[in-house]
Order: sequence, then C-alpha cells, then structure tokens
Amino acid sequence: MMNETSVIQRLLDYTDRQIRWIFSFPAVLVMLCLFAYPLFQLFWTSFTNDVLSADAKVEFIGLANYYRAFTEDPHFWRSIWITLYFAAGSTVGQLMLGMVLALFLNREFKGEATFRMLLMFPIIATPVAMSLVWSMLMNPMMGHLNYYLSFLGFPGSLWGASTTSVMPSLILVELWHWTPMTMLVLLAGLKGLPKEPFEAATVDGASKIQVFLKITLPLLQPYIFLLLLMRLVHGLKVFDKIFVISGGGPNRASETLNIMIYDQAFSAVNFGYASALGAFLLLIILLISIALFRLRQRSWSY
Amino acid sequence: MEKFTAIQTINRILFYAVLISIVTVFFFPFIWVVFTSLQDAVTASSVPPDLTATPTLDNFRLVFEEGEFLTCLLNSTIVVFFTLAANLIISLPAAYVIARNRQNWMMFLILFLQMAPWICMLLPWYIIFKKVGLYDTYIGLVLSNLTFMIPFTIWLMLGFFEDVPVEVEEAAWLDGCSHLGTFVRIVIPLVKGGIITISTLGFMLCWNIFIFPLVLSGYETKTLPVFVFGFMADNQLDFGPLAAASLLTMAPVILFVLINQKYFKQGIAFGGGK
Repeated sequence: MMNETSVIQRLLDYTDRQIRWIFSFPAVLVMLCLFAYPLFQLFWTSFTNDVLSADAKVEFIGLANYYRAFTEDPHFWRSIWITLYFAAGSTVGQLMLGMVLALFLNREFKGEATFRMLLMFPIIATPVAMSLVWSMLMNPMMGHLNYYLSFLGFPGSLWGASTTSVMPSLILVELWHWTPMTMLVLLAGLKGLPKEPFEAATVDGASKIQVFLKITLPLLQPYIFLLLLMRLVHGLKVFDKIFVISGGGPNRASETLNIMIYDQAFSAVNFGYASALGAFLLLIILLISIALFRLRQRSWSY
Repeated sequence: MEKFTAIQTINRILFYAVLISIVTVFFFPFIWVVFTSLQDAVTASSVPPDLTATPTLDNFRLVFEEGEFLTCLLNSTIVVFFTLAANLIISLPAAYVIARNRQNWMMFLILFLQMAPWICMLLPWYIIFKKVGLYDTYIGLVLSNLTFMIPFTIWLMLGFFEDVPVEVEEAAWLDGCSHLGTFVRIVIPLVKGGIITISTLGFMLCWNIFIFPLVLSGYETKTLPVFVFGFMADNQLDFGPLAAASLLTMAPVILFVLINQKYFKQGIAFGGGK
C-alpha cells in the first residue's frame, strides 16, 4: 500500500519535472498540424495538376507548373513586378513619411495623447471596411476625393479605375493605413536617443540637416532596418486592400502575386499551378526572414 | 523680449496648424463614413457633400434588416472569443518554456512563422479542411487564427517571462510548490500586463482578418469582414448603406481597443521597435 502511493507520487513528481515538454506540446502540435503538414501538402500539390474536382484524377506532373510560371505565363513576371512595386513603394513611403512626422512631433505639446489616439484609428479599423470606404471616396464619378482636389485646384483622377493610377492609389491607401505605425515606432526611437551628441553638435555649430544625417540617422539605424524589412515583408503579403478596391484590375494592372494565387486557386481552379506560385512566394519570404534574423541578432548587440 | 514671444506664438500657431492638417488627413475617412452613413440615398452620393441634409438612421435599419448581419456579428464574436481563450491556454506555457530555454533556431522559426504569407497556407488548408470536415466550422476558423496568434504571442510574451526572476520560482519550489503550481499561481500573475496586451492586439487581428474566413467559412460561419465584402457586391454605389455596414463592422474593434488603449500602445511600440 505504502509502496503504491509512493509510485504514484514519484510518477507525479516525474511528470512535474518534465513539465517543459508538456507545456510546449500543445503549441508544437497545433503548429505541426497547421504548418508542417500543410507545407508538405503545398509542395506536393505544386507538382500535380490538381483542379479540386472529384472526377478529374490528380496526376503527378513534376516541375511542369514551375516551368509554366517561369517560361510560359507572362502574367507571372508581371505580377512579381507589381508585387515588388507595391511592397517597395509602400515601404519607402511609410518610412519617409513616418520619419518626417516623427521628427516634427518629437517635442512635448498639449493634446499629445488625443493626437496619438486619433492617429491610431487607421491601424485599428477593419481593413476590409476601410478599403470599402476608400473605394467610395476614390470613386471617379461620385467620390469626394476628386471634389476636394478640384477645390484645391488640382485635376481629378480616375484612381482605381485606370491602369496607370490604380497602383499609386493602392499605395496611397497603404500609406494611410500604416504610416501612423512607423511614425509611432520612430518617435519612440527618437525619444530614447541620448542627448549628449546633439548638444555637442549644436555647440560645434552643425546645421539641422547635418545633425539629422550625421547623428540622428546613424543612431536610429537599428529601428530603420527593422522597420524596413518588416514593412517589406508585410507589403509582400497585402491582400485585403487590393482585393476590395481593385480586385487586381483593371485589366490585371494591380494583380499582385497574392491576388494571382487567389484567382488561380479559387476562380480559375488551377490548384496545382496556384500551389507552385505559393511555394515560390514562400521561398522569397524565407530568404527575407533569414536576412531579417541576421540583422535582428546584430541589432540586439547595440 | 516682446518680439521673442511674438515669434514663439507664431511658431506655436504654425505647429498646431500642421498638427491639425495631419490629423485631418488620417482621421478624415472616419468622419466621412459617419457622415455618409447618416444620409439618405440621394444626398449620400451628392458631390459636393450636402451638409444641410437631415440625418436619418435608414441605412442602419437596412443593414440590420439584411438579417445576415446579426448572424455574422455573432459568428465574429464567437470566433474571436474562442481564439483568444485557446491562444492563452496553448501559447503561454510554450512561451514560458522557450523564455527559460531560449535557443536561436526557435527564435528563427517563430519569426518565419509570423512572416509566412497567409495565402500560401490557405491553399493546403482548403484541401485539408474539406477532407477532414473543418471547412465552414468555428473550430476551423479558430485553428486558422491560432496559426498567426501562437507565434505572435510567444514572440511578445518572451520578454515578459524573461523579466520574471528565476529566484521567485526557486523560492516557490523550496516551499514545496510544484512546477505547474508555480507557473499558474506565481508566474502568470506577474505577466498580467503581457496577457492583456496580447489579448487586445489579438482581438484586433482576429476581428479584422478577412482572407481566412473568405476561403474557409461558408454559409454557417461567415464573419463580419466577409459579410461587408458581400454587402459591397450587392449594394454597389449605394453609399449610405455601404458606409453604415462599414461603420458597424469596425465599431466593436475600435471600441474594444480604445478601452484597452494603454496596452495597445505598448504592443504597437513592440511590433517594430524592440
């Protein structure tokens, strides 16, 4: 009897000491089921001609999907170009605008808390709903943006309705959505900088531009690098805005890789081909995360 | 002396003028959507905007009468609530273990999982979910949300757990507390701030997510963002009802985040800076 309880007790103790395995088990299980296995499925499907039909037989066709993307489908290269244009354009825009705003706001003023709260609204609001709002504002006929432009003496724009203005319009909405975030992060960075170098520079009679280029920028470098890469990766993933505002049109002028994959998979039902495109996109993101990770490790030592 | 203060005053006026124009640019769409949602069919799409029109609640009535709206509101609430609950139960212990045994490859994996493009995961999920019967179920949507919530939560909670001194735990062990007991009774209360932060950000992310339910939910579990997208296709150019639907979709998340503002700001600062 005595022996039995001690066995149970020892078992419980043993379990308790191994708690790290038990603690991490659920997370590992969910991630294995929802990431590891699906990744395998994604790559497998990319080598087949799956069209999601119960009648059609799924055949292994090797690298044919990849061959088709790289050599036969002009839309693939075009969509890569559009994706990069969107990601790079919005990232650079967010950082430059965010930096200007952060420099401007790097001081104490009345109503700061209210101001920050109002500026957080674009980040919080549901992107689909706000994209719908923007698509109404940018309507060439009834939208109010053209009216305000004419009010200021500018000619109206066709916004999302023309092949030339659709990408700038989408980048504009992306800037509206995320510049507050880069601004808040850069502002936090600016407020945390040491005072001494700035005082020394002022004593030495450096101009404001010199101070910015020679002192502020280098000191903020870790923040800028991180923001740059994180916003870039985010930009490569953007789907909601483009899907709601332009749907990839007009005439596929705003068809990013994300939109193209979605259309190929769920409209054209070329599931195998869509998977090949997805696998390619995943590979690009993997390379960027390796770069980001290296940089992050470096910035930890600052 | 007097001249100096005059320049100061002008400077201050200029500063606030620029400040107000910045706020106008970023906040203007919200004012517009409230204004338009209160207009009738004729004035809602009039250019220039008709500021004299009498406000009406007809658009909101129309959205509610759609019937689907309330169902989708309920679906969104259910999915968000269960995602947040499951996320805490699954992620907190894992984050704790990783914080105590930090290794580089784990950090890389967590980073990569946060960055993986959602559309790539959706393709295999669609096949798998249809096969195992998770398509158009709450469990399927919760699981899909967990895939971004778990890495994000671990990433954010690491710092909080690392701030808990090991000595506190050791003292509890010496007093005869088990590892599990120490975690639940000693460590968890010490990271409460982190838990509220992650739940606030998680509420926002899960409420706003569009692409997962767009593909993985059908008739039964449609969430609000998918509803609003469908509503847009049904009411093209009918600005009043569209504005009302947009407003109703984002009102809950905006209210929730504003209530937990302090924690939200912490989370945002973490998102890019730390």
